[in-house]
Amino acid sequence: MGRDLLPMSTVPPALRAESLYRLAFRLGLLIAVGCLVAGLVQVAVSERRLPGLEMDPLVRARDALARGEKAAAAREYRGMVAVNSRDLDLLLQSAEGLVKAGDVAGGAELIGRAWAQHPGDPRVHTALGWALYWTKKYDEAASHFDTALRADPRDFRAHAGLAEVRLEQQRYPEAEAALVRVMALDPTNGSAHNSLGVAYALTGRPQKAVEEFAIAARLSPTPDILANLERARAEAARSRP
Amino acid sequence: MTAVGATAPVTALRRPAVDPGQPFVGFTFDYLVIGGGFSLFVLALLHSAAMPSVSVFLKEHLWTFVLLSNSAHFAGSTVRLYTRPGSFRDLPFLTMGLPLVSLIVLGLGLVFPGALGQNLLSLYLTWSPYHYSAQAYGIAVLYCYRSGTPWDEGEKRWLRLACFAPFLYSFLTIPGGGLAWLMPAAVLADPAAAAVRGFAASAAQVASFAGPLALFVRHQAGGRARLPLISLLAVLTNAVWLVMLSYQVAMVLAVIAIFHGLQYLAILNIVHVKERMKRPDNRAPAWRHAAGFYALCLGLGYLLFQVWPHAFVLAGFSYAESLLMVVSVINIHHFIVDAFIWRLRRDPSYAAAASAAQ
Repeated sequence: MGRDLLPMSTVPPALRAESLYRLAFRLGLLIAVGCLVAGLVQVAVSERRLPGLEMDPLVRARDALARGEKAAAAREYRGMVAVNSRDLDLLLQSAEGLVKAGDVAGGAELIGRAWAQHPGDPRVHTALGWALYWTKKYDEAASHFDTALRADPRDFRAHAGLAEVRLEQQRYPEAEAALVRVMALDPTNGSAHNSLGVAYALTGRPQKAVEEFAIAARLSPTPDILANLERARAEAARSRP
Repeated sequence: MTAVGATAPVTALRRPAVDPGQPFVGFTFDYLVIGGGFSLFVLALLHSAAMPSVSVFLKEHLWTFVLLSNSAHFAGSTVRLYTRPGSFRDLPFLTMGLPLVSLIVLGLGLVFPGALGQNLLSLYLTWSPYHYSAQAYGIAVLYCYRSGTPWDEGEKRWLRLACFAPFLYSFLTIPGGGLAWLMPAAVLADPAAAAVRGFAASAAQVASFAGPLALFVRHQAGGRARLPLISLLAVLTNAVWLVMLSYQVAMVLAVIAIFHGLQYLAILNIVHVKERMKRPDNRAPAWRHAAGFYALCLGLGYLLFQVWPHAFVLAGFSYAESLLMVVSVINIHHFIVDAFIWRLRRDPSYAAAASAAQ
């Protein structure tokens, strides 16, 4: 019985729990509102706009690369790997991105890690092909794209890589054929539409180039694609009788 | 005796061969949106590559559709939690404690990406197909109730098993989650383990389609409570989402998420509107309740997914890390909240939605 006698000042446990819940709720609300205000301020100050609609974790990395800010891009790719190295596709995209951003050793390390986790996976050959492409080793790159395509003929990224190599080697009909295969497998690949536009422009078909650049610009309106579109439009206007 | 029971002999004579289910809005809307029929049409179009312009259009506006549907649906469970009468009293931890816990976990995930962040992401990837399957089961049972066909616990167990076969397939095969997360890579690389895993995945793949179909036929033929056709459609649609289309292809994943969100928002809005319309002081028409609720969900969805990640960029983290951690924590929070606000039969609003009376 004595254990039931409580001093006057003691708060019943249920009431204490409720007070704690209320405190937790207010604290959580405060932090959440603070985060949202900080997020709005961050975009408003750095980009002078409201946050746009984007949920691709690598969008900032690609934007930074398009602006030529390689250090910022590399930071984004490393951030991606820090939280998501278990997804092979994103790991390989980060590896390629690092190479493109100038961190060849970092990219090679990630490709090595991917190979150790998934030995023989054709996607690793594709990523290695792209890494070699970005370091201008075109013949070796083509060899890895070919290996990947023998294992998986539907690997549109390998077809796209092979097309880029052939464009660099000025083998335009082969590039075009590879890009047409990319379109059949993934019609939403903006950079492949851009490359096909380049192939058309370089082989004297500016009107078809405009069509491809226009689709590319809808899918990924980067400065280089928009510039290609403008040039092709001017060229098409000049070539009209 | 229930109203259904009282009229059973007459309805038994008149009932159609297949029960189409009692729609909430109308057969077209229910079959296309809640049953997921429209998603099958869009996915078939994407898969066939018959109209590349549709794929380009979808990709061009993908994040707008994701905001309008999927982001709003995540916010929807939170809006529902805080607008449901008596939530703070009945669910004090969920309403008042869980937000702070989520914020702390999010912060720790960002600070310790290797030790915690990656595992949060894997947990979300593992839980997500379970959540999808649970939604398919919930919709199937909801239409069973609305048809006035009582299912006993044993029958519901079979239905649950049929609904969760796609989750089992995802668990076995999903990269970065499920078995690949919980088992060491060396064990999974062992040829014997790989063979067992491959066999189990194939079995789950077959069961995802054969299970619901067999259950449907059995209940049609065996004089049992019938499975409404729309329930079968919802379950099979989920199987297509998780099993037939490789779950990790980014564009397909986003499209599936859009339709999952649409399905959820439709049911949630119906529950919300029904509840508001029943209030004695209600003066507003149904569309105003629906529009107001959706506007709240949309606004919160924008803040959560489009604004919140930038806060951590300001704190020095990369956008990739911030976005992935925010998405993981919002997903996990949504799965937990959802498990409480949709407790079948125990939730009065669920009973309101399940009742056939419009």
